[in-house]
Amino acid sequence: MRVSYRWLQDLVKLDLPVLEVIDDLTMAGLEVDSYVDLGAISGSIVICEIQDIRPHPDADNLVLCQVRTNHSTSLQIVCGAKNIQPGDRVPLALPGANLPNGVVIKKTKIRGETSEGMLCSGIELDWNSDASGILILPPEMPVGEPFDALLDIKITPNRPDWLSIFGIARELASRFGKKVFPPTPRFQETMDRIDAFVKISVVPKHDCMRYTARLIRNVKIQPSPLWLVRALESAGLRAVNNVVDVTNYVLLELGHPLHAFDLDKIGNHQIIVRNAKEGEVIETLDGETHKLKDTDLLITDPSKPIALAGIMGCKNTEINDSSINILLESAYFTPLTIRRTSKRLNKQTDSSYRFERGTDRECVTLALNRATQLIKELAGGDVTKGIIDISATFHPEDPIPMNISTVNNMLGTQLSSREIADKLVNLGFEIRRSDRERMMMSVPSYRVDVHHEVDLIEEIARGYGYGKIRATLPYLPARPTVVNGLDQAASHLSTLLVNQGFTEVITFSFIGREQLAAVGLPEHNVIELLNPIAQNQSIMRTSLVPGIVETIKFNMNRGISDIKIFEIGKVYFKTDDKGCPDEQTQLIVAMTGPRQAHWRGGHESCDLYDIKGIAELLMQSLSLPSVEMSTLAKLSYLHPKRAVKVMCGDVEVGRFGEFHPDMEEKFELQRRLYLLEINLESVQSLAKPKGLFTEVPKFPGVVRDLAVVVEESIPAIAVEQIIARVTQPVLEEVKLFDLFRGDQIPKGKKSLAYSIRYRAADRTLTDEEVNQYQEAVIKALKEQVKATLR
Amino acid sequence: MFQKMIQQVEKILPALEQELKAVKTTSALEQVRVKYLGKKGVLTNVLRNLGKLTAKEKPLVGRLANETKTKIVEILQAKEQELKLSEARTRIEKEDLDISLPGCGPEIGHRHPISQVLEQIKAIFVSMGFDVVEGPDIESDYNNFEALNIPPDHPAREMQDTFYVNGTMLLRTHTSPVQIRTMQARKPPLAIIAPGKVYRRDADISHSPMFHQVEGFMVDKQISLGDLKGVLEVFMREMFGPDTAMRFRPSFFPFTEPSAELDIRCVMCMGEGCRVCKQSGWLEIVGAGMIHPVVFRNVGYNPDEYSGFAFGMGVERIAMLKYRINDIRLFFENDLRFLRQF
Repeated sequence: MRVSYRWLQDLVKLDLPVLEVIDDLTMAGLEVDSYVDLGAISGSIVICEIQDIRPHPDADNLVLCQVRTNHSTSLQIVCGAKNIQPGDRVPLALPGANLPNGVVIKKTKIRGETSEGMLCSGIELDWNSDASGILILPPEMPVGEPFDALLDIKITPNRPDWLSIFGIARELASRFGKKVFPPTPRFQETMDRIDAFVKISVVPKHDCMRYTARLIRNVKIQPSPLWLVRALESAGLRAVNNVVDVTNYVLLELGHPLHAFDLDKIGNHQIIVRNAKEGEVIETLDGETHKLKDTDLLITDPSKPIALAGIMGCKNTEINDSSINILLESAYFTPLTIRRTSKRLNKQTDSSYRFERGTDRECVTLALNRATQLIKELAGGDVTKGIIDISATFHPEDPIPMNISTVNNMLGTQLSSREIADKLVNLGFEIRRSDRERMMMSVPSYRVDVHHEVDLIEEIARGYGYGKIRATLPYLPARPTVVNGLDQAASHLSTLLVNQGFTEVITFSFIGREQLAAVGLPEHNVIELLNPIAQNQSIMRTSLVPGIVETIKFNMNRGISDIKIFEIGKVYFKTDDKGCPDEQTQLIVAMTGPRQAHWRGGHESCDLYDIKGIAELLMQSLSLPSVEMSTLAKLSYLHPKRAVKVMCGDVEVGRFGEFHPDMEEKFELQRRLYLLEINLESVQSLAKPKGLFTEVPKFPGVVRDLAVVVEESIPAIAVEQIIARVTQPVLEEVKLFDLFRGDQIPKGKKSLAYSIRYRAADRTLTDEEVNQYQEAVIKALKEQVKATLR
Repeated sequence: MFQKMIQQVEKILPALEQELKAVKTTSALEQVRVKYLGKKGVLTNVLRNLGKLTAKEKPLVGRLANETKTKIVEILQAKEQELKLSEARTRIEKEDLDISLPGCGPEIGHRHPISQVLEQIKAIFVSMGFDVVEGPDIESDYNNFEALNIPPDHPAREMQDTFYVNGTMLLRTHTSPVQIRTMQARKPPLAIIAPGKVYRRDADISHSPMFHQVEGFMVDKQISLGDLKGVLEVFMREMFGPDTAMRFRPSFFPFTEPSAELDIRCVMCMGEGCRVCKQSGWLEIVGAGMIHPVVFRNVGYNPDEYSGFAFGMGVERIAMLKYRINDIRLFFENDLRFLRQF
């Protein structure tokens, strides 16, 4: 809410520096989000009066204004505006002034004439959007005073009582021990009673607990005076005509929304407040039509709706220049009723904003009378005697019991009951009963947010000052801290990957159907957002692949070719169990580009074995038992010949492979991409703590190398398994150290060179023994995979 | 004969000394060793005639010869030591490299700045005895709103524009539902933090539809607003440095009462007032408060028996302040030129 400091000052005189007030508001819970200084803080924008206007001797478009800022000081200002006249009061920015648009005012010479400041337009001051001329101020504005400051205050949804200048003034007054007085409207009424002219009935009392109205006849609709126009503008509203402006003014001043109808357009001069009929249509005065439900509340005449209660009126009864008789409505609408309708129709107005948060039911007639008084003053007319007042019985809230010890325990304070009581009484609460330990507090009608003891405690804390509450540290019983296991696994794997040169990325949890389809994943198990903000963020991802491929693409497009990245995040699946989606945490690793390019080499592109190496490393570091990797049957986004699944026992814990060449082309990736995915939940549950220690060998081992030539189709693992089987009791390790294809090897064959380490636990192996094993290996390889020695 | 032999033996050492002067390499030294100590060496040659001496003379020459042999060995060893040293020095001298060439070690990767900040936040709270707990991203309306004292049609729902999955399920708008889940499952005393992703329908330079929060709460008998203040102050000083100025001011959240917001002195302008802090000199950093009795009742805790505080902070916001990042979207664009800076 935008608040004019000057207006606030009219209601409560604080005599404090503005910045101090701003700070206090924030510390009281009325956060001043930002402010525009129009002189109230710096003193460099003041109200001046134009005394004389002369043509500029050297410029046709400029004039020389002589302005006064007090009785003795007269300044010459060069100005280009056409809308000013001697006697006008206008804002003057003095040298040094810093305008909201960033302009700093200096004393200058313009075409040879001195200008000791600048007269400001509304747009230059961020006051309104008028750039056509100088902002003319009401004649009653005091010459020489700083102009104003506009505070943008964030009012939290629980405090509708702060949604008015009066409400904020009331809060400030209580904080600084000042008095604030609500307006006391007085006006003359005619002899004839309102009941003679208007009939009003309210059907659903639970939606409209109070409906009051006044009738003002023979008004003259015309533009509002400047003070009213400027007041509305200070809050960001635009002036319309005197009657409408008055209702808006009272809304800003007291926080209670009003509505003015043109009585002569109300059929039978009869108002019926009723619920809409299901499907009933209303056209509000902004020209929009709405289809209504039977929970919506309408103000109607016998034949038609004339307002969407508490939200917006209709064109059919709108005040215009020819209106003469005004029916002024002031009501208390049930917050929930207004809220539901306003939300469903997506129609929020200054009026609905207040009603749905809760207005002060005791302000209904004050606001009505205040507006009546102003309309009579500004538009003339006769106020018909009396108010139509249709009220349901209000059940005042029961006083709230409060324990002094609870207050102090919750705040960590040692306040006396006297101090506590004072803070509440200052804010308008009343003590109903009190003893040393307990008080019964009744709540002022405007405090619709206070229902519980804790609400009172917050008020006490605000009054005491949050800043003064002493910071303490709680005692916790000693116990081991429990850290989420998955989180730890994620942390561990991240560190490992970072140390291997991988960089972590975080992509959105939602993707588009196109992205999913682009990697050939199914859509049947996808969770869809009902209200996405973009097509490519409309479903919850069932795979980390689309996000990671897009990230690769994004970086490639920026000229980065060596990309090693990973992401740990959730994927989401629809399940049969309605309402309970399946969320799984996954790790994805992606690599493309040179293996590890430096000046000595490593420029060759990484391949399947690099990603396999990462897979093995991760599995090893988690101490997963019995990990096996085998060919993965078809997975849409992996190369059919280069896809591997990682099994741990009979659980598939992950998969890796080369990105499908078709997709690589479709994504225009330029390079082969390798992906590894690991289901974090599975590996975390299967991971074993480190096992028992095995003795370090006491006897020396013997290492023998063996190079065999086999058919290409023989997988390395087959050769390894044969070696292992034959040498079983004394084999310590068999390790492939070279794979060769080429000149000395027949076409269609490959040479595999193994280093075999033999060792017995209880003795030193003899050469003879090892030779026997070695020969057995060669024989077995010859027989089983037709291997030849190289 | 005896005299001659004595003389011959006595000549050996001076000759050796003389000869060694010319020896510059270990291989030349080896030749000298063979010449003096070998099977056909000088000393052996002399002693070949030992049999011709008398029984009285034999031990005398023998002793002299042994002494000489020991000496020769010593001299040769010393020489060898000397040569090895100088050879090594020569070799090392020749082994110069261009040490300005870049190293060829493995490259290190980078954790996402959000993860780094998250880890740091977790570490601080774990050190204070908080458990780390997680909850699902797709939550029930009940856990995300109703149980937290935000009934349907409450204006506070507007504070957080929500993505819905269906009528009752949504993407959690804050990590606060973890409060509900944890309190339903456990009994006080509780000291919990719950990091995670949250979602709001909002996207611009300072809003991302997905971002990260850390929820924290503590429930026991007699936990006070002062305790909340104390815990958050400790945290902020760990996070932003021991001199971090803070202020604690009233705010509103439906699930806490009293509610508070914690501001820290603007890290950009040090409180002078700038665009980031909207001239106020302060930055909002944590929303907090005492857990509302309605929330306690919703999870079956007796509000007369227990009290507790809760707080929530945005991880992106902290990271942005820590690293002076000016656009939240950078976190999720994953430009490696950005990520490699962390």
